Amino acid sequence: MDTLWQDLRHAARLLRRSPGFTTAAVVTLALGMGANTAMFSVVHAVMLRPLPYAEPDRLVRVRGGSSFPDLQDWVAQARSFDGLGAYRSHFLDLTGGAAAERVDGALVTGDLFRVLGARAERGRLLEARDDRPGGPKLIVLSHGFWQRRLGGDAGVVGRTVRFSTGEYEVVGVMPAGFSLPEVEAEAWAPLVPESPEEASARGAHSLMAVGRLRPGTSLPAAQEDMDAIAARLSAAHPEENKDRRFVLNPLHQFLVRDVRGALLLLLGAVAFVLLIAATNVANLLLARAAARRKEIAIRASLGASRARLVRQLLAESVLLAVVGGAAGLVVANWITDLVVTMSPAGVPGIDLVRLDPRVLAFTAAVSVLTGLVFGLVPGLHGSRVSLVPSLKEGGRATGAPARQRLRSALVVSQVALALVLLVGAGLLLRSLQRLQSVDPGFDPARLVTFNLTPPMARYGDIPRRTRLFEDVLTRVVALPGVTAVGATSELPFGMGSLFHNFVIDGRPPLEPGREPEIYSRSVSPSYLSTLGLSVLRGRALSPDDRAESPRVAVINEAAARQHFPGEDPIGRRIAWARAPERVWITVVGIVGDVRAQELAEEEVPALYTPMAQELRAWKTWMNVAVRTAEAPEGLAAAVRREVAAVDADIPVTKVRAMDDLITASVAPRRFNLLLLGGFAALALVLAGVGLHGVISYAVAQRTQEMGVRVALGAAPRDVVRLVLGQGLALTLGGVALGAAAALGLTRFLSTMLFGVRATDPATFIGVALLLVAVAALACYRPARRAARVDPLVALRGD
Amino acid sequence: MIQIRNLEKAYEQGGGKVFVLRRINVDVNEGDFVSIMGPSGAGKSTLLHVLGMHDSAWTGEYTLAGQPVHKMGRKERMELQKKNIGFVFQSYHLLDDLTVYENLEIPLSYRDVKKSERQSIVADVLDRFQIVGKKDLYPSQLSGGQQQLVAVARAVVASPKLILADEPTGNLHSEQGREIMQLFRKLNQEGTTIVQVTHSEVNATYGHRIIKLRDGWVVD
Repeated sequence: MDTLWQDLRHAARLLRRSPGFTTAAVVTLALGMGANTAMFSVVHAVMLRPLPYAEPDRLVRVRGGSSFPDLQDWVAQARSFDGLGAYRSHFLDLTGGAAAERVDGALVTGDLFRVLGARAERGRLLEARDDRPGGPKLIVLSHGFWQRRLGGDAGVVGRTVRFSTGEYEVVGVMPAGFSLPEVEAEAWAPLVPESPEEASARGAHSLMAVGRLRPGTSLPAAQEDMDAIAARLSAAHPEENKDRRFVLNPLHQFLVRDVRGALLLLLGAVAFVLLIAATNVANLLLARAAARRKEIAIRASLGASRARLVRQLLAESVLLAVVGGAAGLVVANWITDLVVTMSPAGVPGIDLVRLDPRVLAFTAAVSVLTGLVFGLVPGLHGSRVSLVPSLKEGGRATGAPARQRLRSALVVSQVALALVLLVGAGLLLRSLQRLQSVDPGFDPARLVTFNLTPPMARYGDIPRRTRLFEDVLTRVVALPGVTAVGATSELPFGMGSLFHNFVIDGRPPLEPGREPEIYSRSVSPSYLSTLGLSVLRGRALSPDDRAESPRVAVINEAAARQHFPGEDPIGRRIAWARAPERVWITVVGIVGDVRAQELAEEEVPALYTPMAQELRAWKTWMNVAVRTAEAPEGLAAAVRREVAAVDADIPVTKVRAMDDLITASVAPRRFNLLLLGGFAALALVLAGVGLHGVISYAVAQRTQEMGVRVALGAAPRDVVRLVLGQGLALTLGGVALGAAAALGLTRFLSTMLFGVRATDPATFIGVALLLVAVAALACYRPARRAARVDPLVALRGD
Repeated sequence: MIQIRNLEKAYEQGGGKVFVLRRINVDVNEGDFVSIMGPSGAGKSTLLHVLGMHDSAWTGEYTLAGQPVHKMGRKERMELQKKNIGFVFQSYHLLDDLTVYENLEIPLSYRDVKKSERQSIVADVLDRFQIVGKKDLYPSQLSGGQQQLVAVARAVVASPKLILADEPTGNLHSEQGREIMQLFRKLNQEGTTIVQVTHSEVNATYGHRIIKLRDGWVVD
């Protein structure tokens, strides 16, 4: 042990005495290790850290959501669970001020907190008895809400808080940091159906459901249990539940489903960066080993065994890697800050990204491993010395061809790794370019949107609600600079939307549950023109389409194509399949498609109905789109004033420019691109530095040869060509190897691509040319140096 | 101590063989102080490296301390070398990044001597060679003579029976050279067998006998 300590001490001193070498190696490793530490800290926070609930491994999420009747049946029939709870987000509007203010809240079944294993900081949690229809209005507050709005009042339990939906009695306060899966909320109230219709609407899967498996119950066993229930419900309620399966996912796995692929991809990318960085250091170590041939020979002559020599060299590489890892923590800190800042909304656990002890342990382990693996080859090579020539007086360091071959091979592999990363980044870049050139179907410029959600209690009456929206639209369109205003229940690039089953008049009846689906948007007459959607056939909706007029609708091209192929849809009638009574709606026009959620998604069949003819009392919300003549500065405040003038208790929320909504919709792709692009750029620089190092070393080794060549009449350009040729040969080898690897690996990217194939030749060629250009740049300096060799000096040095 | 029979060493060159050592037969007894002399290229250093087991590409028989080196594998040779031989080189070959103390300690460390024991042996050698005051200096901070003194100290630190010295005074001026040779004589008188390669007739007089080499042959 003490000899190991001795090796480490000597290694530390050697590194201190070679500051140039040590700095180069440490900086290189710090970049590679920092990128890895940062990505691991993200993966750890998002995917590996246990969810902040009791025994989180027993929690499962029912995929696809639940309705009230389904939930009741699960609770009654399932045998695999200790409990099942459900919840959904719900805005709570604080009233009483000059303008209403919205608080993010959630409605939860009484059992949910118990299912999650949560505990209250003060008072009590909601319980099973609390979610009866007609029960008292109770609320549990977040720690933040209690502190911020109630001043941390010690007597908060039992107090009442006034929201637009009534006065709520505070029964408890949750500890700081508590949140439900997927739903950010500051207050939780009991979940009860808003209407008898909702209580019985088996097809309205608006609830998020979470279950806690009984101890010892496996996921497959629980799934079997749910499948049996699903089969019973399918038979009993074919209209809503025909062939409907309730798929269980481990809760954690469900929450990270959208980011898992990208994070693993980026983790793979940084592993490549580390490989390249470590290869650079291995190359430096090999060069250094050549320079230390004599020292190694002396050690061997003093009795050092090969193993001891390897250990000595490994001690140096491990020490370098550990110092590199420590320096990498600084780099990691920058990168994690950047990742957290840039990460798209909704990445679970991203706010928990820290360089915590587990991450530090990871860095330490990777550092030691890197030092061992990448020190081993130079160690084995360096420890194999021929004693006699090395110890002979004036012994000249002969170029070891095997070592030079190894260094060349390392550079080839670096170039190959860099090419794989660059191809990945190139494909993502082209995807994003293609995506951003997609026409969303409307003009997003100078279009500002906001949301109004009047409380059900006061605006459950549809005509009253319609008047409210019309009043708001009338006032907003009169604002200076506003050229058009329209309202819609579902905005492009806004929240998710609901499909409805419908029937077409004159078509043979279909089996319940098999009717076609259409995406329904309730809009003001001015909405389509505000967005700039042109009417392709028939007419647009008009202010004359009132509640008492014949019911009409405009469909989009996708609906015309899919549901009326080869027919003229104008004049055809449709009706909602699940409506309590059949109300026929006549199609009066066809408008162009818009991208509804993402630029990458083709528009689905959609139907626009006049908001005055809305049939769904529960659909109280409306999004308003405002088109302005100039950049919409100060519009939000003006809009708030106008809305408050109509009803001061309705908050104006989600004020966003449409351009921003579209930008946000591509944010995950941009995030992946920026990170992968950044890592690929780093890889490119490191590979360039590696190539530069190897070529410089080779030139130094061949100084005499260059001198002879110049003495024999070689022109500087001949020497430059010779050196560049050597570098480019290595590069092309790496490009060929990397292209083959990329062809195999880029398919893992295919789900992230848009409008470009994973084997896109233009990307491959472009990236290869970029690498060759960087390689030429990296080789140019050593080539120039070789060309300037003075034959006299070079030959005298012999 | 050393018996060599029909030892030959050759290089392959241009389809033929170039002999560096030819049919060498040498005996060195325990307690001998032998000087190998001859013109440049005669094979002196090569013979010394063969004796020191730095070179294993030779034929013939070589017995050291009763052990047949020619029948041994690499590891056994290394063990035999570690146990019996200390080296002194013309250009000292101290490890530049280690202090004097550490340069003396390293051969012991390679022989797995315990730390406490190493400390006491090194302290003893520092004392014997009167270089205690220099123990924390690096080789670059010493004169040539001092460096060679440390090199000799390093050669004897593991108490070898045999010291092989390759032109040990070649890089020293005459006074420093004389001191080193006197040191060798003293070590020899204390029982250490010494084989040195030298060009210097004066240095050869410190030894008991001379082996002369020319073109790879022993010529005396």
